[in-house]
Amino acid sequence: MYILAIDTSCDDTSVAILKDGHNILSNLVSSQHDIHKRFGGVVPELASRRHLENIIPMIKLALKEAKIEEKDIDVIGVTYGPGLIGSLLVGLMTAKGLAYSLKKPFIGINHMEGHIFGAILEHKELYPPFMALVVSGGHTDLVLVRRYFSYEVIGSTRDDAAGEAFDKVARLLDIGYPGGPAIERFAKLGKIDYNLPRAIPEGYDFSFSGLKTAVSKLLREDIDLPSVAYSFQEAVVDVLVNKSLKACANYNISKLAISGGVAANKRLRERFLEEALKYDVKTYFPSISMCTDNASMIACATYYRYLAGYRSDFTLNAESYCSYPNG
Amino acid sequence: MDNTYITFYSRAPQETEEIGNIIGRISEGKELLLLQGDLGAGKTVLVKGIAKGLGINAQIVSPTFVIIKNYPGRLTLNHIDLYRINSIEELGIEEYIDDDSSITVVEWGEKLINILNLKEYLLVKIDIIEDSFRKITLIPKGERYIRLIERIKEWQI
Repeated sequence: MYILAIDTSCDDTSVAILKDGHNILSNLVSSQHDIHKRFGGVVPELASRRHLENIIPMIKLALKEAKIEEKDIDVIGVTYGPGLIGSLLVGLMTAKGLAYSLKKPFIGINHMEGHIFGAILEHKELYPPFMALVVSGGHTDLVLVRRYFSYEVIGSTRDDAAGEAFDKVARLLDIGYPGGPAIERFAKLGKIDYNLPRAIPEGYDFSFSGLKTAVSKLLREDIDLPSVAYSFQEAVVDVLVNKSLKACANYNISKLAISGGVAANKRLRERFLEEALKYDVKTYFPSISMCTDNASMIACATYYRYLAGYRSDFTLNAESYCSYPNG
Repeated sequence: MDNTYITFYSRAPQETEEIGNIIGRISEGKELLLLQGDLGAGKTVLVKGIAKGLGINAQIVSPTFVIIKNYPGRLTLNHIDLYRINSIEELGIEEYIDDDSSITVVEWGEKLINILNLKEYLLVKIDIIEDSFRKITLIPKGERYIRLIERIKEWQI
């Protein structure tokens, strides 16, 4: 079965073709980092215009790479939300058009569910119940997956997302955008841990805005800049690792999936591997290149939703804000 | 069917077993589960999981030939298979069902509903969707099983 999936939830245009849910035949991501770089963030209007230019050529290229034709596609999957509304609409309308002309079913996928399937995509052995930490530029969520397609958010950020904090601190340090990889590179040169404050809200929630403020205060003093990046990264990683593993322990869950752009951070991966051993928890990361937004994870979710009997109809609309589905 | 039912999906036998494990863990005694599903759907695999959830270490094998097997555990597991059975009346299944300290799981059990005029039970439907993909629907009949479904939805192991 061939699944074609589209994700245009933020600044990347992504198209993927999967065979049977796990076999990636093509996975294209057209990054817009170049155009958003000079603003230090994503500009919604620019993003949707670029998606519009990219989408059709990318679908053609994906088909060519997968060595299949349009008519071979069995199911079309597309992200309907959450994300930038203008960007989402480009993907959703394209998917609807394809589904209509090819007379094939299409299924709207929640981007966050996509990230969770991003861990399953490369780890077929991962199955519920498991805990998922989804950390990206827009989200920091701890999600309990008791069964497929059913998600219970047990904690999330009260202010900035972890990835957002990376971006903001990278701007403070003036080391470039996107902030995640910039901080990771810069932090390697750091030698001192300034032991920045770790905000630990009650329960499983997160808070990163205080950390950003602490960084800006620190910058007023005469200090070693790479060490600031290093200390910041340590603080974020610390909180993510500790909270997630505590949640696993308290819910008696032995499997933890970590996905989203921040999951590409090598220090985070390293610390999770170390600490998870102490908790007797097995961790599941997508490979580094598959952590950030991509359509393969959407295709994987589409495949399983298709098998489970889910179908979308043409009234499906894009949703800027939507929580995890709870089927 | 109303909105009190719950649907699980399984991609492999060990996932089906895990679903059984959850059912086993939250069982309190005197549960009656009727298993419905074609040959090879994974009914016995689900029972293996239930046994695990009850802390039973014994190897669970299909009881098709012996019809009834009992396994002691936190609750006694009565594993019954009606595949070959035509005259259910002589089996004395009611005695197992009425026991507070056991859970009774009946493969090919839907035929019991009319014969014993059952009012309360949990129907477990296992549908083969494709290859190893299964849809497992738990449909409660009666108050006590509706509450059981609520507990399954919110279990904390």
